[in-house]
Amino acid sequence: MSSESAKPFVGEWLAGEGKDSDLVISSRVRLARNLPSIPFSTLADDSHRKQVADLIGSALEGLRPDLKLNSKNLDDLDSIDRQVLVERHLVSRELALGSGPRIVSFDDSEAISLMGNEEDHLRIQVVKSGYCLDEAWQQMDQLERSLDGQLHFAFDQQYGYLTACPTNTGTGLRVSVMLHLPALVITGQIEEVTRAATKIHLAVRGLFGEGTEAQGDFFQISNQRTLGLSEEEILSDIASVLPKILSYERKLREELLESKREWIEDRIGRSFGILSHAKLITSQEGLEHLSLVRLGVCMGLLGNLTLEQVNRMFLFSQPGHLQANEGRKMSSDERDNKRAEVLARILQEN
Amino acid sequence: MALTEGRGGLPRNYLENDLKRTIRAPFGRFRGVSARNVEAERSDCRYQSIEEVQEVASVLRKGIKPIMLCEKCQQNEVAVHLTDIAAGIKKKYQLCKECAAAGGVSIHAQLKKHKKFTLTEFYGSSHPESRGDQDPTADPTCSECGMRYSLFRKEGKFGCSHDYQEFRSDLDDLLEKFHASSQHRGRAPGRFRQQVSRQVQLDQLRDELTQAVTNEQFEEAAKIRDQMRLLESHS
Repeated sequence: MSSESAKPFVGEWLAGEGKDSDLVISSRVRLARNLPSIPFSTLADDSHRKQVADLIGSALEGLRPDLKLNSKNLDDLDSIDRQVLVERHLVSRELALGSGPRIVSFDDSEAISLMGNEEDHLRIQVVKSGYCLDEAWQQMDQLERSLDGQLHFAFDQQYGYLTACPTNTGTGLRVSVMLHLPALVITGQIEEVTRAATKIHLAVRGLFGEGTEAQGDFFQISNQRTLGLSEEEILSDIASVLPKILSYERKLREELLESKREWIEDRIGRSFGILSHAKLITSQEGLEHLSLVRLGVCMGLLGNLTLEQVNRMFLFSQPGHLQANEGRKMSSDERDNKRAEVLARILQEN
Repeated sequence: MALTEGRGGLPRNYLENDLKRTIRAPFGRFRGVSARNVEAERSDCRYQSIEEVQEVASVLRKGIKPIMLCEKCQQNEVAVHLTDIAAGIKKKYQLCKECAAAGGVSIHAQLKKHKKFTLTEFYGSSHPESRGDQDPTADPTCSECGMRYSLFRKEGKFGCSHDYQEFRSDLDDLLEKFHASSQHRGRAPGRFRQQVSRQVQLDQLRDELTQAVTNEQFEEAAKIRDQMRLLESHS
């Protein structure tokens, strides 16, 4: 795993391409599926987990070979590599911290990822760069249909797909978009957006989904209801509200540039300066300055710096990636030092 | 007194204070900027005066409701809307958390009452008296995984997919609370697809039938009824 971090960029979703990629970092769809007659993780022992892992493993072998999925058992990886997978959004924190046979399988572009023995027996996700939920769903649709041919998923005529937690029952579908909304935060309007989203049953969360706080102006908006709506309706709920949020953010960015260009240039320039020259940067501080630098790139204020570079800085400055690159565990102080070094190095590529 | 626990605890000079309201500075990093602390922030923010802060605020807030500052300290955002009714006279105060607390108003106690339910509490709140570990007859247990209903309510997680069947009689209310529905309307596995699509069609026809009857379009209603019978005869 460590050597993979040396790739020019990892994960299709980090490419900084796709529709509205100035504001939408990634679009993600996730399905939860279970197998009948095998206990869920709350009651499963290792023999049940092995049974699930074997069934899913053979179903994965039956998928189209051109998907080129790499499968790993989480138990075979050390804690740093598991953290790297979490930071790349390929596995959930729950799966990384769990015990017994647990599988992750992902393609080379890291757009498709399947988790075996998470809270549900199988979690499938497709992540795309920018705002591209329809394409992500089409890919998911095909993938799920191929798996449906090989695995009998637990299903009930009334309740739909049966999941370990009743908050996923029905479609088992969670649709989410990762947004960068600095102007809404700077102007104090973000709470209004959050309130509006909550009213129509959408959840606003932090970078790593459930249970995480929003950091550095990054937000994840996802559906809360999974039952009583079709998959298309869930997708269109998000699609109906997202353009409004995006145009609100864009309008505020324009107003900032028109009315306070010097001020915003100063803020962005200061963040750029800190990321270029600081020797110790904490994770939180890094995120805050990266957010402003990202804003600067989108506003065309930072010359040749690209979104792909910013996204790479964002990923490689996270604790798991820093330690994976060094090939050893590091103390928090050591990480702050290494983080500053990595951030400055990527900025100097231009 | 809607939000207080100690009426009259506010400092006397508060009531005499000039309740001039100021629009909060627009930038998150200048939250609570007032004439007093703008000076301190000047080197950082490049604002020259409170007027300039307000000018930017008005540009950015065209058509947007301004966020109010605490009436007392004029620095922090309003967190407590206090209504005081004394001797038949109603007075309203807008205070920040700190000033409310300093004045003897405990926001903490109020927040506790309104905080979001945790999943476990949510489960526990539905039928607190009807389920208990003590009475095994009132605690259905899954014949496949052994999960007890009471434990499911406590933990918020099912033990296996068969639990849905075993706990069916209690699940509809719970799912209604989460999803505002207890009927799946999405896709189905290949082996169920035909049946589900028939059910979806029936639901749709039922809605159309109700609409037709409401509009007194009885011929149309009869046609829809026949279509429904036909579909039902195939299931």
